[in-house]
Amino acid sequence: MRAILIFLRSWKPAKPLVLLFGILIIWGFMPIAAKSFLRISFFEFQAPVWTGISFLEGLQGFWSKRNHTKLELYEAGKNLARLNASYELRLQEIEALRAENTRLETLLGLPSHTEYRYELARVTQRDLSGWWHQIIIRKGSMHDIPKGAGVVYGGGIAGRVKEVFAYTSVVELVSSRSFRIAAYFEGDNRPVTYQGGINLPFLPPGGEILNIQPDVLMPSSGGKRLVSTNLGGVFPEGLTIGWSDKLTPNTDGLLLRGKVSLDKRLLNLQEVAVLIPLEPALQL
Amino acid sequence: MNRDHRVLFALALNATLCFLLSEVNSALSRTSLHLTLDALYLLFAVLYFRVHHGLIVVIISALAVDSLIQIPFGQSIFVYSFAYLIALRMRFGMRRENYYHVMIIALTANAAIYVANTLAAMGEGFPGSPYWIRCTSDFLLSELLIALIAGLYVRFQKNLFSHVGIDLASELQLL
Repeated sequence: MRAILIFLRSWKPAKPLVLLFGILIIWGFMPIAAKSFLRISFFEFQAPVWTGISFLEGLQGFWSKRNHTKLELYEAGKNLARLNASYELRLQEIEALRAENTRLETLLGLPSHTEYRYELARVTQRDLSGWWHQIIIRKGSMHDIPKGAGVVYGGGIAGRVKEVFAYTSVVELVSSRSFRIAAYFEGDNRPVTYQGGINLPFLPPGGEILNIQPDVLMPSSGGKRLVSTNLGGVFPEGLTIGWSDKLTPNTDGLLLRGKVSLDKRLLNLQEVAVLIPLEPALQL
Repeated sequence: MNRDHRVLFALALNATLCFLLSEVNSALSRTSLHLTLDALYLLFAVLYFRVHHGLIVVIISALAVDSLIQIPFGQSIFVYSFAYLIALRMRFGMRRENYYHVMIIALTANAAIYVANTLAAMGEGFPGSPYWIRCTSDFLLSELLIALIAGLYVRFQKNLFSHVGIDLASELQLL
């Protein structure tokens, strides 16, 4: 031991290397619990800054909107009133359909669908690199956000909650390479696999669909809508994932695969809704 | 001001840079582009700090960055340390006052970090061409920006340190 110490003292260039390898070895043997604690601590330490920036952006938006004239505000209010009226009508229609659905489920003895509560959350940070696509939202465990919950936006599925902290959560986007879910084409109830990851510069995000039956045909114009299933219990059935217009044979020659175009709005999300199952037994 | 404060000061500057960079990346997300300028977290520590101080800056910066992204926590310690060692080795053949030498060190360290992260993020199976096209375009953009701002950023940090009474330029270039 002493000989090693003498050797190290005499060989100065090795000092930083020894120091570094010492640190790396200590890190390698550190218990998982300590690493997990460190990760949460580092994240929570930075979280107030992200939240603060998000609140400042909100304030900026508020003051910029205050500069609008009364006439502009009156016009906006009138448009909103029209929209509200149409939504109220649609709400009544949905209520009637839901009642009909429940009646049929009872009649046929079918298991009922999972019901969700929508928790709206502002997006504080977007990290959309070639390696992964994730956003940080301004709601966390203090707002009962469960890990693994589905996240939606105006264009359909946005992603899935990956990590939950006290006042913030990390959402893995549907365009991320590691995002995989079961899906199906609208009007065809055979499941296919959707996987994100086609994100080229200056183009809308995209993904890939795998395991498609060979008899699935694409319409000559437009494309087919890929929608969610309730198989995983994360998303309700029928939410839009994206559109696909071309299928190619898989390398095995048995099944097909294709590309999916996702909504461009996914790159600029400002607000999303987290789907929280209403029944505690179905909590993720 | 003692050396402990210089470490804290460097960490505060890194945190500020991290927040600024995140805001820029948030804005760039609309064009499906992403900047990775992680070498800037290490550069000043490589050029002006003793190794034990430099390593503290590198490790804490790595942990702070790791906590925000989808990689195994602690992976960046290995990646940053690897880049730090490369940059440290290069420092002895170069002059830290020379704009172009600083640029070369920063480009090499950033490339090392980028390649390591790209390979680590591959996951299962070999990714298709979109992954490589996107990674290459992000890499080229990041390297271009590093080439433009690395020298200026180091000069800015040096001036900031001298304003708070730490004259790093007059200190010997030791390990």
